[in-house]
Amino acid sequence: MATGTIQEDVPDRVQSIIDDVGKVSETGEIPTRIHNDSEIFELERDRVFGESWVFIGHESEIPEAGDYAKRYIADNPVIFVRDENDEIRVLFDACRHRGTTVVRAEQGNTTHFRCPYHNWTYKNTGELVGVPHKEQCYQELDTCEYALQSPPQVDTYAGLVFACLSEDTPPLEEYLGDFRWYLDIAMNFAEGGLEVVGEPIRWEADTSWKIAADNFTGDAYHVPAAHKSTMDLDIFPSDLTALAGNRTSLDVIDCGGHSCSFSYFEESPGGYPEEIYSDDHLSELQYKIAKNHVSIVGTVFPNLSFNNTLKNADPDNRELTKFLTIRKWQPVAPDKTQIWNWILVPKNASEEFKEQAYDTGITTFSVSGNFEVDDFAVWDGITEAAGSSFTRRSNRQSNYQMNMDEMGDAEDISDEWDGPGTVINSAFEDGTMRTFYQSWYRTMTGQRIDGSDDNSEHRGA
Amino acid sequence: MTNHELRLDCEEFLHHEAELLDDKRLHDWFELLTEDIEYLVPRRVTRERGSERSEFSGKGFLYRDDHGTLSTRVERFDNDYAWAENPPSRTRRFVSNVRASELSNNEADDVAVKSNLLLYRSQGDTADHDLIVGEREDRLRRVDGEFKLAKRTVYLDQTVLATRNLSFFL
Ligand code: FES
Ligand SMILES: [Fe+2]
Repeated sequence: MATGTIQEDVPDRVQSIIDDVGKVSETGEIPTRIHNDSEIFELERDRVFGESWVFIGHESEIPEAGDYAKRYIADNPVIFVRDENDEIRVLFDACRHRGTTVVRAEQGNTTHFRCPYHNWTYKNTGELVGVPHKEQCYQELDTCEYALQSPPQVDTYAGLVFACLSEDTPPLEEYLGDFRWYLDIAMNFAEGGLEVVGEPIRWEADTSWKIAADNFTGDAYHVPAAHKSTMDLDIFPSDLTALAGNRTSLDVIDCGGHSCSFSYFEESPGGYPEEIYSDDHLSELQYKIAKNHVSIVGTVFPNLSFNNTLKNADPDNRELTKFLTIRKWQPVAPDKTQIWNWILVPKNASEEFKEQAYDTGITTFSVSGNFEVDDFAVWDGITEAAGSSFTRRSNRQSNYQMNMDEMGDAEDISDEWDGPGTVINSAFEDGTMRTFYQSWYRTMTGQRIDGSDDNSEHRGA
Repeated sequence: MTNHELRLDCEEFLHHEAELLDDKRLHDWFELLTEDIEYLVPRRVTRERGSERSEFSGKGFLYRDDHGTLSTRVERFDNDYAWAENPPSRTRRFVSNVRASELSNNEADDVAVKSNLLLYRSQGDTADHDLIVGEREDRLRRVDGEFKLAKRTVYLDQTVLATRNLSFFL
């Protein structure tokens, strides 16, 4: 596949903004401008989304041969399909003739994709099998050369299918690296695995995809502020929050370029039926966290976020319930993001529990979620101010210095911690977000997110 | 009662309900619901014409609420920190194309009502607005001579919703 997507002619203004982001580990600041800037956005589409592993969907969404769903890698339409041989594929959704999309629906089941324009027809493997009037006018066309294209890399982790538009990016296993230790706690804890309920809920908000991805790395600081109403009502009871004294809250500020935040008690606060757990993929410590956590929230760079969390949709009549929400923050414009929200539940749980978990998920963490609606109400304000001329003129910076250096007494406990990554003993700190922006800087400058090829002075903290 | 009169009665209920919601009288609105209220907004899915599967998901929902979860939502909007509605959305509900029919004998208290909903929403210091459009299928129940809402299913006309959040009722 042709490379050369990294453009050489980046204007100085843009390059200096990008370079400033690269200093985030030392300064704790990033230029606010990056949250709404059309030149940055154009570059991001090539560099971040062209060079990273991007989440496509979960295997359980396409259980039968022929099941497909339309998905996107940034602005690239792709088909997520299980072919006749039960192999999961990701195909670029553009007919090899003149290039219109061959999939018009969001989901369905088919053995073949027929292009509506001139009716070239493809098997669900992507193979071109039909060219109308070929004998008359396309005799020399070698159909083997005209299969629907697949991104050069497609791979799966714990049922999550990813694709990468670059062949130079390390394989998924290496890209996720040690961060899988934490992902396993969030999504690899149930006997028989997890399954998606229904279809992902999709909606569009006037914000930058980065604001959402940054928040989900673990912005515990906003919870008692933006989400105070849910504590007052016991949707998220105060004795479970960071304000509670007896919980362990840790931020994994850097694990191969990804980051997350979690907190747990010594006893389980409930949430899943006891019998769904399995320690097949987990160490003793992972298993303990899986059972006893209040939430584990994080972002796989660039735009896949997850939150396995404990909430109550109706504190007077229901119980605290856990569910996993998975997000894709699809960049649409510098100030517009399409949000994709999947709710996953343990496959082997009772139908009754699955419904309870799903309902808790959509009632708290979705487009109508009474926890999350308040996030969407503030994120667009950031984009609005970020796009303003004063922000540009004054080179305004956004602050990510919480608990950095002398700011507080949070400590690096990586040496005593039995898991991977750089780990800080506080949720009230911004290292998870600094890593997100460091990974952003690295991909914007053609480096690997884990810094393994980074010889620059801005090496991660 | 003639069908015409039935429709007028249902319209009156729906117009009153819309007024309560537009005026943010959520507790008064909540009083219109029966205790076994089912409040559903299924996820609409873009499917091929002729697909055997319904466009409306049987498993994916934007709302799937009962009396208790709705009561939690209503109470939350009283809270000073419910930012999603602070400042409040300016909503205007246009309810039209009302079709009403009595249900069969063993459900003689209930009426099936369909209506179209056009919901205008604008919020904050901007000239922008969102439009949310759909068809509602309601079940109204006669309780002590008044209608109550016993079930609502909203069939939206978008698969990708063009609004930042649903911090209001449809
Ligand atoms: S564009 Fe697909 S057949 Fe011509
Ligand atoms: Fe939040």
